[in-house]
Amino acid sequence: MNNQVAFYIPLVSNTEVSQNLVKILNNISSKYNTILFNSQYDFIDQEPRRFSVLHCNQSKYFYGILFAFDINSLAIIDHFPAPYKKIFVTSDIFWQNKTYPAKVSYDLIMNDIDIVTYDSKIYDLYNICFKKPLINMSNGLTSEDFVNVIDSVFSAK
Amino acid sequence: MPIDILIHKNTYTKIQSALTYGFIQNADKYKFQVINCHNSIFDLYYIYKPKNILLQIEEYSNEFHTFVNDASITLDNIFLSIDNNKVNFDTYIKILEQIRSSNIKAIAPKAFIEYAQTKDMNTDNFISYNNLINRYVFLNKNLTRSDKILCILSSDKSCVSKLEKFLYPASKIPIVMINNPEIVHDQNIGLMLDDDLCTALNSYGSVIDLTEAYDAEISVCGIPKYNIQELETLDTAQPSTISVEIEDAGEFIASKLIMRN
Repeated sequence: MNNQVAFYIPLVSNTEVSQNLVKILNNISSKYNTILFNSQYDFIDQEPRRFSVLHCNQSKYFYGILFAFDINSLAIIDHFPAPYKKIFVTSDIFWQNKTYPAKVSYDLIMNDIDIVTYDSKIYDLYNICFKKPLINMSNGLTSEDFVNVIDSVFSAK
Repeated sequence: MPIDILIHKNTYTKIQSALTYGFIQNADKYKFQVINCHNSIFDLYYIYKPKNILLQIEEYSNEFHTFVNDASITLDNIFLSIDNNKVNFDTYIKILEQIRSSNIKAIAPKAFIEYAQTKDMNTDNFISYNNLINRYVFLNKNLTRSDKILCILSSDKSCVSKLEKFLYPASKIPIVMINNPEIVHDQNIGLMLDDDLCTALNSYGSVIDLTEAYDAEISVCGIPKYNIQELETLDTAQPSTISVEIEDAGEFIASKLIMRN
């Protein structure tokens, strides 16, 4: 079970963000068993896909490290009992979005979710307002930083 | 089947929330409905045929004013809840001066009644409350406290200017601001309702109350309280715990809101 890693991205499209995440998932697939949980895969693969793709519904049974990349995904995976570790990767101050009540922000982050940021200001703000993020990926989202985070989480197990 | 009281509830105010919880505690005595009455107060009046009605002064609209004037004869009481929001006391007095109905009863904090008396207002019909909370929601949960400081903002937008030098990026003091979504700041996480506020007051290390209206909640939850000035000397300053006399919302409804049922 020490090498199960999954990304929870409900909608994978041809945007730059999706492209980057799929690329990272492909890169780290050589080291871990990787899964992409989604409900729509509108992405044109540029290289052989080395990870499994499963429907979002399956993610609640996933045992391993589960990454989410937006607050809506986090709100869904927050209630999953199975994942060993749930990690929220963000460069966004989600509580400034007035459509989310403070209750959501408070409850979610205070639970057993870990945070990873890729913006130093956001790192400071999460540290001030909620909890200290595991790491700030100062060079943006990179495969190396993901490997570091995953290794540190598994080694702490 | 007529109900005892129709409670208007739309946006969150401390007093309206406490009173609603108070009625829930007295559910065996009174039949009540909690509904957003905007744009439908006359409809709701004919549907539920309430004997009393509870409105909140912050949301007193032209529609409510017409209703109060037209329907007051057939209602036993029209209760009007007034929050302990010192910034708006003058506005509340202006509204109350416009209401001529005799069976209006304002449920007001002691501070407001004292202020109204200085403005020569007749306060005979006022029902006073002080440190009113729902003890079923606010209680000391004995949780582990973090080092974070909870800052309860007032409705005055300028209140944050006093704090600016203690906020990011000028400082990294872990201050989390709540309860005024209109103030745009990265450390303002928005509105926190009673359940979450109780958890926050039980899990944060200390609190700054810019409204000066949360003494009861702070006292019950046992959280130490800072003044803004004390943030200057955070290393040496010792926040103090406060203790005030608490009024329970359920008992308040049972003893002070006299209604025929």
